[in-house]
Amino acid sequence: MNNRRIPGNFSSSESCLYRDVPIAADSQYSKAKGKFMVKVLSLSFFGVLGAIASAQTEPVQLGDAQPVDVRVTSLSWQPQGKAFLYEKQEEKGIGLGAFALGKFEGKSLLHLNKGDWYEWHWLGISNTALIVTKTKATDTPTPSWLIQMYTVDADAQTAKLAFKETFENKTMVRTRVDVSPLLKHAIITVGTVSESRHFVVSSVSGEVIKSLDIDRAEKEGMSGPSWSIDGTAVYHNASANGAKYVARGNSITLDGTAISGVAGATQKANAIDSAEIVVTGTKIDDSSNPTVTSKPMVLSIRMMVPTPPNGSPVFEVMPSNGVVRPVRFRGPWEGGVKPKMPLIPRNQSIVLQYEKSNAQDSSVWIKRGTDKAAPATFLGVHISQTFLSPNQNAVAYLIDGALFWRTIK
Amino acid sequence: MKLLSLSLLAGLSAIAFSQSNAITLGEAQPVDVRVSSLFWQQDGHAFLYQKQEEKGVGVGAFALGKYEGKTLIHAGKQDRIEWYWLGTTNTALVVVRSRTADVAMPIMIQMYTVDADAQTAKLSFKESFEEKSQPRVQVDASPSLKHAIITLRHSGEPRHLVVSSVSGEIIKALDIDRAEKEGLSGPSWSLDGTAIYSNAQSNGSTAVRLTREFATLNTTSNGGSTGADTTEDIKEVFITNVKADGTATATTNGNLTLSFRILPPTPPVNTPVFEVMPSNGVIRPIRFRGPWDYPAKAFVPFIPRSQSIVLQYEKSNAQDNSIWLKRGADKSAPSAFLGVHVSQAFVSPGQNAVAYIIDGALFWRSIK
Repeated sequence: MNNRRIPGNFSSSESCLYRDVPIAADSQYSKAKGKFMVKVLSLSFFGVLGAIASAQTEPVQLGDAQPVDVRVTSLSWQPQGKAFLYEKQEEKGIGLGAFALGKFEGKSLLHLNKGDWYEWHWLGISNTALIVTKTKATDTPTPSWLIQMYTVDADAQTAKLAFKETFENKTMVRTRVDVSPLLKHAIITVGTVSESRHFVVSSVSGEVIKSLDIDRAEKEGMSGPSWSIDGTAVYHNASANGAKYVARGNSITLDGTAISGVAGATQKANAIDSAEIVVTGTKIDDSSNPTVTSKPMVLSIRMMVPTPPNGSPVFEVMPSNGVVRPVRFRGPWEGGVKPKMPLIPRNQSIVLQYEKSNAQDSSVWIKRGTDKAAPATFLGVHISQTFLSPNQNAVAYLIDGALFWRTIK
Repeated sequence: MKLLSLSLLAGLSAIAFSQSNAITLGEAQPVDVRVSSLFWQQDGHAFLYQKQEEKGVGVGAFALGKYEGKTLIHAGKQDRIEWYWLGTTNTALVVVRSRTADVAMPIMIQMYTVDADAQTAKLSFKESFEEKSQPRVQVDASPSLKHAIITLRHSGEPRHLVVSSVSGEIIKALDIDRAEKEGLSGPSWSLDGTAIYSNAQSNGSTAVRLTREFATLNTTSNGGSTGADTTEDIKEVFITNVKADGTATATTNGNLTLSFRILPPTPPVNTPVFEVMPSNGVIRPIRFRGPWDYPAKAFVPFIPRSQSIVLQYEKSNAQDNSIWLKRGADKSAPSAFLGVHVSQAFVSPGQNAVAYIIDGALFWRSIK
């Protein structure tokens, strides 16, 4: 029995399975103890398998469908599935709405023109997000970009303008947002051809405030942010070795040490610290279900700074005010645990009949795993997009542009 | 006789042909969420709808072709809302009766003119009343003009107001107050869509008019069908609860609730009557040019049909209901699939469009 984790591509469930089992080959126990361990490990292994099998046979329970808004095109779940932001088409442009589970309906909070650029970032595990917009400035003598940043509170369904500045086009302004994985906090870099300025979203006030300390730290050759075990940003003297890529997509988050794991990906742009790829042929690995939706998806890839060794001297950004202070690194952020048995939306063509008339449509079902004997739960008919929350406590979906959500139990 | 037979045969074959024509539905367009009911404009160009809101009830308006619906009036949960389309225009009058915290004058009546094209609502009337005055509002909308006669009854004499066909404002009509005091009855509606007051006497029979007449399908939430109420199904309706203001409601054996209004007697053509000027509510004597001719209904109406379905994926099943639209009752006539899990469907009076609700989200589709 070899329980050592084999390098290569694993589904999230497989990775978790191997992570839960100790590696017997590394133990220093006697042969007898080894035999005993093998037996225990075998039992544990079958126990885990049994739990998975049991989880697979449990039907997914869905709550009543709740409508949220109409003309919706895309959605971004809060990391714990407590809220989402969504984009909707409006008569004169794009609307960005927010909804926390349990709210009566969604609310469009920001209104952009068609073609305006924006990006949204959830701040840690809070129900607050940062939205950055880049629009053409209309009141400047030379062609310019207007950068605006809003903090959006999905609970209160409010958006507050927290940053607004105009940049001439020739400055080639760009923004980069590094979000704390835990706190209502982010490091924002506003870069032009001549300078790089840093701001933080204060974890206390939610305001976007300047951080001259981070400007100085970067000038002195420090790199960051890495994220500490407490969710604070850390700057340090890192080497390029061990750089990590993080991918961020429409509704999925991937991470790994290389981009090559994404099948069918074509690189669209490349830079030292970032790249964008378009996935043109994603398909769930289920040959028995060839009708699984396959659609283009844009992923943003970013190279993350290597994590410093534990106990090494680093500079920590105070999340409340952006001031940098020297500390010993307490360890890196470890990230959330992915569900062991992921729920997967399944698509099934249907033929409907009334008297002598027929019609075709598709039904969407949710089930755990890939076991054919496992029960599936009916979600709806004529669903164009399904968005499962990251921790699988809820599902949102679109029917003819109307957005609904349902709880998952 | 031969000519009549030929006409009859031609008419029958036209009906048979229209029944066999396939119905084409346009793309589904979402309108709003949390919608509970809907009221089509006479020609099917627009609709008003009622939606649940966190703190009460909203009234929204939508004209076909608009991007999405817009909630224009926000009322309390216990408020009573009545809505009336004004003639064949896309303007409606919405009457909201609410209860306020004012001890002396706890009943408030507000009237809004709602423009579905502009998606705007304008507060045109607001007045508070004592509890004992028991205020009631009766709205008689012109069948063709952006105009209505409003009768406000409370403890004192009834007061009359008109919606001006020019400005859309609600203005006092002292002439109508006087005409009623002098024993004239009305309004009847002339062939021009103007209101008529006259001394016409009843000939022994009482005319009633259906004031809510859109085909509606309600299905139960568990996916089963309660069966469609069709025009053919409603052969006889007993009106038992006639109110003092001449209105009545009757519920058929299905879920369709009908509202009726007892109409004042229509004067004979060419008799002297009083016509209300729709622009300002002033009355002038004229010879009656003839009554408004309410258009006949489409001979073969579209009817929403509900069909239970069983869906299957691998070894799992689920039940739901599918909704179809078809002309008439002929089994060989084709049906058009509208959707699954539709709880309510509302075919427009002009049968040019259908609105429907799925889990509280309102959609519409054109019918061709």
